Amino acid sequence: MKIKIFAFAISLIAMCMANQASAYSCNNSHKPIVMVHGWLSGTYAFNTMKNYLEDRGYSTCKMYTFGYNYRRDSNKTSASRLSSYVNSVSNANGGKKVTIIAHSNGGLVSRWYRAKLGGYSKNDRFIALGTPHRGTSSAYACFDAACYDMRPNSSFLRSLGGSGCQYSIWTNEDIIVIPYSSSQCGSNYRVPGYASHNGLLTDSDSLNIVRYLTPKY
Amino acid sequence: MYRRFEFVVFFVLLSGSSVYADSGGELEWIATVNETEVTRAYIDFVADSRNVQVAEMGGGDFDSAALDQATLKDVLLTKLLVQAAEEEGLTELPEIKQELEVAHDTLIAQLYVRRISKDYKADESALRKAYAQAPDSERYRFKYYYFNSEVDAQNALKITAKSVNSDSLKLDGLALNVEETTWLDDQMLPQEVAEAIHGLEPGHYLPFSLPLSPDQWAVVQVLDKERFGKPSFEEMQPALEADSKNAYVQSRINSIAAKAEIRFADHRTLRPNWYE
Repeated sequence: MKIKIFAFAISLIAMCMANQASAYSCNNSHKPIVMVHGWLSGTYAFNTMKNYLEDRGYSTCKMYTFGYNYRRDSNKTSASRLSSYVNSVSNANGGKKVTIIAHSNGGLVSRWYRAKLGGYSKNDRFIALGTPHRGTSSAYACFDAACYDMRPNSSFLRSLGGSGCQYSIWTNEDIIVIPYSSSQCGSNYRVPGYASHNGLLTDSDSLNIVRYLTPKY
Repeated sequence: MYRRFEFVVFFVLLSGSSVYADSGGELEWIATVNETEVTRAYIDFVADSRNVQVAEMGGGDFDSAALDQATLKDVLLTKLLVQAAEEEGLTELPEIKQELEVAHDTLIAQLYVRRISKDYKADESALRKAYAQAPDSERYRFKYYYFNSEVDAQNALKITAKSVNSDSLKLDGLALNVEETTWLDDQMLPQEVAEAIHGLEPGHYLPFSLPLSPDQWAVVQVLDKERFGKPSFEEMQPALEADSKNAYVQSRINSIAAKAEIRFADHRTLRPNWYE
């Protein structure tokens, strides 16, 4: 009995130590992931997704959240900042190419980086969630620098054309991307059931698709 | 009631012909919609914009005549709908009038800002100076220990000390929840956090707890830190130029604001920062 209690205590301590160790350990073989938020959003937008992926074995130490100033900077400027950021992430990870997961306007920033700033050399997996690939009429109601780029037929979108896409996750309940069909580009995955525009970042079906499309290595 | 027949007749007459075929280039109007003239200047503005758009999309050999016809049809339809809206009194509704005023003011203001922006001239020596002053960047990963009151967070903070990793086990047990963050740039952190973390190393704690919401406070530990050098000047140049242009535009706006006399009806009114 005493031996069993002792063994149990040891295993408990070992588990606690393992938990502490896993919190500081980092699987360096994992592929870095760069997350790009949307308009009226920030780096916190990906908290749920980060936890979801972490629970499924992805290393938090390989997740990077890119922040940009959509109020002040056009999407082209933000894309140039993203380019420098991805370079630094890749360099910090032995030159590995990164995965980009982007939400909403972040997808347009990412596409410009990929298609116009040589991003393909550093990024080989791109997942856009609720990105207004062909613009959204809701952007007429905002006047930040990025909003002009999001408007249908903006010079930004005309220059981008259909380039830079790879995977797009969309929902037909999206009332921010109008029409919601604008969020389709490349290989498209519709989230079943109800998922709002911001819900694409937290809905379990959406996260499941993200996980399916995000390589761990 | 708008007269559908007149609209249909005009559209039929114009179909298959260029925008200016019937006018001979001498009249100021291209078409009328229920006797309201649609001017050459109006149509030119829309048509030219669309032609530029298509050309920029790489449609070198596009059907310009077809595009002009489509443009004309859109313009005429728009005029028709505006007339219908006016007949139904839509444009007299207070909320519509308000919206029109806001749209008008916003468009004019934006056009003015765009004009100011065009006055900006990039100065390479200034950009290089800004580049020289730009610091290397740092990235951090944090561990958040969540508590549901400031008191609990402060009590937890008391048991932490610099570079004492064993404390984290104690906090693990006390905290409601524990979470690791992704890598975050120092420039994206709240100012008080960015200032506090410089000099901290992995394992250190922020010397204060963070209020995340009225019932959520966090004690924050630095997990990882990474310093990376700034990119080359050429790579940073677009961003430096954007920053410089923004600063120029803002200074022009500030000088306009400084000369303005603005009075508030109520001393409790929220005042914008530049006014004070």
